Amino acid sequence: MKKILAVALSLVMLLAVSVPAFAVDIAKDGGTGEALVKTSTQNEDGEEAAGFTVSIPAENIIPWDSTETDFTYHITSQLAPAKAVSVEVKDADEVNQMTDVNGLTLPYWITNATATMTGPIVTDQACIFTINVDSTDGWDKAPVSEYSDTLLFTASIVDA
Amino acid sequence: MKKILAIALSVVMLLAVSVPAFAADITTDGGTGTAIIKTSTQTSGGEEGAGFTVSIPAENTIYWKALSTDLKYTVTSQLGPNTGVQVTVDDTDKAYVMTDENDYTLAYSLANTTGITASPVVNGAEFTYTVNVAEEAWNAAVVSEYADELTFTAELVAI
Amino acid sequence: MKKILAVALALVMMLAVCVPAFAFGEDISTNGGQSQTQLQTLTTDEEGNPVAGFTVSIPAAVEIPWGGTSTGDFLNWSYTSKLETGKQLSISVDKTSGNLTNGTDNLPYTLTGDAVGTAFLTGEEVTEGTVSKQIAIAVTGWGDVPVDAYSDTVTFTVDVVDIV
Repeated sequence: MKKILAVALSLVMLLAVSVPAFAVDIAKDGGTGEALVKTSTQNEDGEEAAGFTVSIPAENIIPWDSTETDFTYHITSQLAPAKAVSVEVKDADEVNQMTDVNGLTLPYWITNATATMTGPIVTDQACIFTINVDSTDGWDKAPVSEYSDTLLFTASIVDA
Repeated sequence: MKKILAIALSVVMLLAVSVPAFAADITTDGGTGTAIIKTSTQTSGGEEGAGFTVSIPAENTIYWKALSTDLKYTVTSQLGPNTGVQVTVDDTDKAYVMTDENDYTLAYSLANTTGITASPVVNGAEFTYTVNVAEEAWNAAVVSEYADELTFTAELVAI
Repeated sequence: MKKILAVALALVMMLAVCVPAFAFGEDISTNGGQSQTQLQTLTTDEEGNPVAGFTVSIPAAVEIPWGGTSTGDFLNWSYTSKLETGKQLSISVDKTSGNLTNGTDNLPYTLTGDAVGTAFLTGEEVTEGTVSKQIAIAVTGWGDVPVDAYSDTVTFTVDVVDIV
């Protein structure tokens, strides 16, 4: 008797850990039963499926004397409902000056600095930010050289 | 297999030469990435941004019996760092003689013949050169309109 | 008188031998005597409950990872049956395709396998153990909708029908 009980208990434990547990048995003539089919938000490797990519170019060249220069980056996203990607562009050191190898400076400012998508799903959406350099106080006063600065892009998920 | 490899390699090479290369992808909430903005020394039309203009008057009047006459020219420049414009004034034929329509002559000399801008960026910087006529020359000259041609030479120099 | 008795006795003896040797339910009281009885099963148990029955087991829920499983996604179900002679199970689901939904957006899917489109007939009264079956679930449009939990209900119906 003890052996039988032990085997039965093992079977019960084995069934308990088996997935999925059968929750519905139909045992009547004309009987019906329902099975729920549902998706997970994780892929088969267990990774969260919702995600996005903001692709920013390595270099952005401003032609000499250009008072407004547009640059493009791209957003692709597949997020949860009512969520969207928002990207902010700003000067990394917040001084808003480009400098050359000799330490000479060229002031600038950024417009269209923030882009927020309208929904959770976008594919390769092009977003534009603008680098502005004043003609009189900027270009005209600067020795002709290569001035550069580093911009910081910050991406976050917001409510759409 | 070789054909597939060849196509795959072509695709890889094509992607390799495609511009611009994306240096950073941000994929996490609150994630950041950096990009460089940089000026070119060429304008959007492909022209070199650096340049200068030396403006010289077409005629420069020397009054009769003036022993020393200052004449002016201006320089406007936007050059690379540590670069300036040097302007040199000289008699074109180096005879240093003004002549009239009857070939009468009036000797002169030049002073302050070299001007150098102090900065790569100047706007209408004024420079003066001097035409000297000795009193003896004036006294010996027939009253007439004497003229000569001067040559201005501009070149970029380190400053 | 003796002749009449003899004939009567002969008649009785003849009648005695005309009767079949095996009688049902009769006591055996002679050496070598035989009797017969009939064995018969009931379709009810000793409490009077019908013993014929079946079980079709279906999962309460089937969870599909986002993007699907590379080796396929399946709804696994099974059945056992112990039915009366000439009977079989007819098992069907209520749809061949549908939409998984989160209430706003939809993910279309199709079902293929036994019991889908056409009722599945078990073909036998009694199964040898539990018979396992699979319905393949193919979901499309993963990239077109926000990442969320989408679901739909599949209904199984089981009938006992004649084996034809």
